[in-house]
Amino acid sequence: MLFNSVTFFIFLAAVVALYYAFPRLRMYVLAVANAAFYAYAGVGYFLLFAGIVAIVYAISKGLGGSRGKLALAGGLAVVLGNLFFFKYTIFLIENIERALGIEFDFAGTFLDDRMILLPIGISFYSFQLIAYLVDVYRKKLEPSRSLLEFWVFISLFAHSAAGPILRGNDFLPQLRRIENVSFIDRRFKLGIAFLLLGLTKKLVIVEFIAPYVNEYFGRAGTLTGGEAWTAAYLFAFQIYFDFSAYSEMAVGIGFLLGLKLDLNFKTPYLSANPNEFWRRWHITLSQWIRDYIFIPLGGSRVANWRIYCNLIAAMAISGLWHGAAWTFILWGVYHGVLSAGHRLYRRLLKGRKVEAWTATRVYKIGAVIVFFHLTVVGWVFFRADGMQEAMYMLKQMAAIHHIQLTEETKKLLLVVVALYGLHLAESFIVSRFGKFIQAWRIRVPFVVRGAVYTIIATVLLAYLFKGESSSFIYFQF
Amino acid sequence: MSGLRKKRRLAFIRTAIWTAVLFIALQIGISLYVKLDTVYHFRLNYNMFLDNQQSIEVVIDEISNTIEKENLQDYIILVGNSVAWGTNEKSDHSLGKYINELSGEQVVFNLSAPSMQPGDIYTLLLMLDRKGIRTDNLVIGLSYSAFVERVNGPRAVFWLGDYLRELDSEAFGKARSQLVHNGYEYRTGWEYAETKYLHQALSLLPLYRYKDAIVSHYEEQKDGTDLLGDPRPWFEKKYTEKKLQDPQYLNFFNPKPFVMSEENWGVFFMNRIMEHQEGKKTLVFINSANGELSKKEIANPGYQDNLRKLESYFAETEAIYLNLQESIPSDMFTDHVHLTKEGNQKLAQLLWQAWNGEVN
Repeated sequence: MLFNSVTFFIFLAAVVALYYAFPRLRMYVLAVANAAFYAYAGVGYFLLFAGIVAIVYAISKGLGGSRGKLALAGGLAVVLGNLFFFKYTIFLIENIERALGIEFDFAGTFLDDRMILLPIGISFYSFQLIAYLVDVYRKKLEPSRSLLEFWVFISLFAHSAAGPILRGNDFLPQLRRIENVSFIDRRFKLGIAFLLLGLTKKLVIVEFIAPYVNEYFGRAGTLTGGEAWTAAYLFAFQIYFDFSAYSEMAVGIGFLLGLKLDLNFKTPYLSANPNEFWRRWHITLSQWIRDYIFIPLGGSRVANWRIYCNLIAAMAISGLWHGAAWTFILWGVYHGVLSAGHRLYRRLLKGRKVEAWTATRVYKIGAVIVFFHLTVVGWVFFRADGMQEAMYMLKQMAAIHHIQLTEETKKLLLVVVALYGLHLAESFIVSRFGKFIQAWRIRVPFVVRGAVYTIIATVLLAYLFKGESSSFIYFQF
Repeated sequence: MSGLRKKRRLAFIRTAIWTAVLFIALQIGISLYVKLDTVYHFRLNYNMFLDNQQSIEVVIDEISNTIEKENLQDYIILVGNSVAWGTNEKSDHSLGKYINELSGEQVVFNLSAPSMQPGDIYTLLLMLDRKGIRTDNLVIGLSYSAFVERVNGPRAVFWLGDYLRELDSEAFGKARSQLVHNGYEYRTGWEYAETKYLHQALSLLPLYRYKDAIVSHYEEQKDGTDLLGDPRPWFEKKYTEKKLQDPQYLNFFNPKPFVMSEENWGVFFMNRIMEHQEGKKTLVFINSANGELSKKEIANPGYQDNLRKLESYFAETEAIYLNLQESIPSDMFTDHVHLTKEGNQKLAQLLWQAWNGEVN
């Protein structure tokens, strides 16, 4: 069920109404709602999801016992086995075939058409389950008290399809107090505001950009340098607005239910370096990678060369998590190299006079511009249909002295500038959100506020009714 | 509750009520804005219909409102394909315009649309019944191709399959596999229920109901014309041999003998149309093809035999049948079948004479 569909809003209204009407039954309301939300995408995949959750719950009971290690290994095997089967089987087969120069014959088997449909949210729920198993095993988290509680935690419809990746320590305590959550109109309004913000980003901005991105990347092998840059810039904003829209709607749904879900984005294109970027982009995934991959690999407590290798390895895994393709792995490696490179750069500057200069505003602005462009370059790997297309586009983009702009690319680059302006505006508004809200409530008469709300509702409904809604990009992961 | 919280909650409720009032007022405003001429001008707005076939409900509603408001008793319904709609000409030069000029006070409502098949026409009649619009006077415009064997399309119900499913499940059941085979999306279970009931429920909201009507009307106003296609006569355009060998073009005149039983989807739905029209005045005309451009195809004995078969078929019905072949001069065509402004005028005259029994 897409967040940007009428059906979802009817579903959400029903869930919220039942949630507040029957406080003692809230866990049951959410459990059924989560099941319905997931089953809407396919009953088979819902049964698989429910089965995996039940098995992991049963296994997790043994994590604290004498055979805890075995239970952990069993739990991880189930979760990773499920993820690998659905997400990486075909990728693995194709790479073995390519390496050995052979072709397996799958005629008459389930791999006949060389396609396995990916269950929605599998990457997200797998990481969440892994975090749970590891945390309980390390005794950093008190295990879930019931299957019902565990199911609601893992499958909450607000985040089951594309995050944020919730941690047990943050979320389970909230579920344990759920019966006491009272209706607070300020929180409810905040929830609505987040929902509307996400919906506006998706329906107005993303739906406007997407056709151009699809058209350009659809003919990636024939793009000029100007077109390749335009496509990469536009995709940078498409993926940001698309994913942050989903994440903000998830946070908004949380507020409606009196639950706090983590924000996944904080205007990431204002980052001056890779560290900052990963603190602003897909925050819950970055934290997961840090806690469950980078730190276990040795983190920052090992020799420098190992840190660099760990950074690259962790980011490569992050890339592979996104999709079973070499372009995603390369995207991850690219960001790993950027992180390692930046770490090396900081080390080289340390103690030198020029280090002080890096704290100036001019340097910061320059660094933001440079790093934004490095990010845009990385998105080419992420979005291109294949390695050949990605390399071709990058080659075209690199030949800067040959770049010529058509009337269309000129217009689209103006759109890119406007989108960056929106990004800046978002940062400005979010950092002063409390003041704006207060001024809006106190200084603007209710007659004007009502008129503005009516216009917003009308415009968003008109977009919502427009026709087939496009899916969120991260639903495919 | 503290005084401040109480004050805030009151402000929240006041704003919410005001927003609701404005929203409802806006819905009323939208309802009042959309009238028959928003969606119809001697023919329906095809771009609107193309974007969303459900928008035909708005056209039917507005026709119904007009009939009621103006207390019309003796109106005529015209249903057909692109020729009756007026492809390659604007609405002010279409059949709908000219036939209304000739009919005087007897209003003719033209519900034709390009690609309409006998299955769509039958469905449309059922939709009109549902809305209480009488079809006592009905003119049906068809092409020869409506009876050609459908090997790979077009769908027997090209546009209105969902409505047929709702209004005549038996006929739909029989046609279903042909429709699905040719691209009809047959939804079942929850998906079907969701699509159907969501549409029904949302249709109560004018913003949803009239969204396509308003957007299309605005775009038409912006473009300044509702012309679809090229109005120049065919001889001013390039017709290469390659174009005249196009399979779609050739299939239009397919000389293979018509099977005049219900195996033929054209006959299947015409039988239902004729049952529906029992005791009502109905005229069926078969569009003329361009006698010059398509001379070779028209002269084919198979083609001529098939036209005779159609004549025999309609002779056994109550309908007035009009085969327009060779009735419209070739210089009044914009292509192999569509007409110029003068062609539409001529067609209107021929139909009006036949309707009044002046020619048969």
